[in-house]
Amino acid sequence: MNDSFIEMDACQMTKDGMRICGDVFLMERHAASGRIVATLSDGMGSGVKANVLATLTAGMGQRFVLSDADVKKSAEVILNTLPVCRERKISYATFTLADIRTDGTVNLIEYDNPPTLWIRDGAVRKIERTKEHLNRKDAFRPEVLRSAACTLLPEDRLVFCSDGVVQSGMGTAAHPLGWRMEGFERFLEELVRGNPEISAGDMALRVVRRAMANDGYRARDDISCVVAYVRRPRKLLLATGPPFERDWDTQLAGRLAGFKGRKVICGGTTASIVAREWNRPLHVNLKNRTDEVPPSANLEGVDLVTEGMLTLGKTAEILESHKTVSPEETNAAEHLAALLRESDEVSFLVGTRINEAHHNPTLPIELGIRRTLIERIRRSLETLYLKKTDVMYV
Amino acid sequence: MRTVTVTVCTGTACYILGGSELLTVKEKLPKRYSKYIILQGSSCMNRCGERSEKNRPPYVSVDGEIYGGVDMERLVELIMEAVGGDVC
Repeated sequence: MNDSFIEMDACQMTKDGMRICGDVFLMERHAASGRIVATLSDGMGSGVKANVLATLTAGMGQRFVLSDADVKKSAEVILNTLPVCRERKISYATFTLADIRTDGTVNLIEYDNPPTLWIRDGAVRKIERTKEHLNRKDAFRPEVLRSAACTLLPEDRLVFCSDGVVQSGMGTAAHPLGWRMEGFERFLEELVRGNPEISAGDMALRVVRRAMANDGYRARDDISCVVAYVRRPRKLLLATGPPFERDWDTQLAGRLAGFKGRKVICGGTTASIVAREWNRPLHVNLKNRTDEVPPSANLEGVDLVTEGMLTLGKTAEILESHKTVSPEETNAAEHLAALLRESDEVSFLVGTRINEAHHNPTLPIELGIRRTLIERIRRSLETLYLKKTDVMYV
Repeated sequence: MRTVTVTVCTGTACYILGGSELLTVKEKLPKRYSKYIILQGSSCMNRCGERSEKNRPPYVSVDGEIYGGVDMERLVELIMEAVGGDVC
C-alpha cells in the first residue's frame, strides 16, 4: 500500500423539483496521518429540512470519527441532537461513516444506509458486520448500528450510496421493487470488469446516471454515490506562466518532457516557449471554445494546452462549485477540471515573469493574479478532492 | 480572387478584448466569401504588451500580416480586400 493512493470522490443528484440535496457527503484527509474520514448522510424528507438534518449528522460524524470517540456513544449523541420534525414528530437521518487508513484498513459504521460494498477483481466481496442496538430513550423504533472492517489492497474499491440509488426505478416495469442491491451490485461488477481502471469520480457519476435513467430521468429521491479506489497515483504536471529568467525556458521544456504522467500547459506564451524549445508545431483547436473560455490547442507530447488566466479562473470556479465534470466535457476549463480530478498528485510549475499585457487598464478586474489562481485551485484539490499537490515557482 | 488565411489570437488579452467575437467572422461575411477563408487560432502572437492605437489587442493576421486593435468591421474589410476580385 506504500506507493498507493486512495482516491475518493462522490456524485450527487438532487430530487426532482428540489433546489437543495437532502443527502450530504463530507470527506477530509487528516494532514498528519493521511487517514481519510468520510460521511454520507441522508436526512429525512427532502429539500432544506433534509439537508439540515444530514449536514448536522455528517458534520458531527466527521468530528467524532476523527477524535476516535466511542462509536455507540457518538451515534447516540448525533441522533439525540437532531431537531424533531414538526410534522412527523421524529428526528431522523441515516449515515455511513468510513475511516480509511493509509495501510488500507477500513472501519465502517452504518446506520440505515444501504450496505457499503467492497469490490476486488471485478466482484463484490462480503464484509462481515456486527450489529449493536442503541438504547436511546427517545427512540421511536429500535435503532441498530452496523460496524464492519476490511483491509483494502491496491485496485480494491469501496462503494456506498444513499437509498435513492437502490430504490431508483421503483414502480416501473423494469424495476417494480426498485434497482435493489442486486441490480446495483451487478452494475458495479460489470462496470469494473469492462473498465478496470475507472476512476472513483467516473464510477460514481455512472452510478448516478444509471439511477437517474431508472427513475426516467427525474430523480424521485436524492441520489448519492461515493467511491473510494486504491490505485497507483496518477500524476499530473501543470506548467503555467513563463519563467522569470529567460534562461529557464529550456529547463521548463525539459521538465515537461521528462515528466512521467499527464502534462498540461496553461498559457499561450508558455505553450509557445515549449513548442519553440521542442521544435514542434502548436495548433489551436477552434472547436471547443465558449465566450468565457478560449479554445485549447494541440502540442504533441502534452495532454492539454489551454489559454492561461481565463481558463484557470474558470477551472477554479468549476472545482470550487464541486460541479460534476465528465471526461467528455468539451471546453478547455471543463477538460482541465476533469483531468485534475482524475489525477492524484498534481505538481504546479508556475512562471513568475510579469505579462505586461495583463496590466492593461481596459482588461476586466476579474482577471486574476496567476499565483492567487493557482493557490485557489490547489486549495480546492486538497480540501474538496483530497489530492496531493506541490508547487514550484520559477 | 484567392484563398486567405486568417489567424485570430486567442491569448488572454486578445480573447477578452474582442478576439472571441472575431472567431465568428465567417458568420459576418457575405456567404460567398466563406470558401476563400482558412480561419485558425494562435495561442499568442506576443504583441499584446503594446498599447498604441493600432498596436493593441486583439491581434489578427491576414496572410501573415499582423493587425492590432481589430474589430469585426475592420476584419471583414481586411478579408474582403485580401480575397479581392469579384466573388460570386
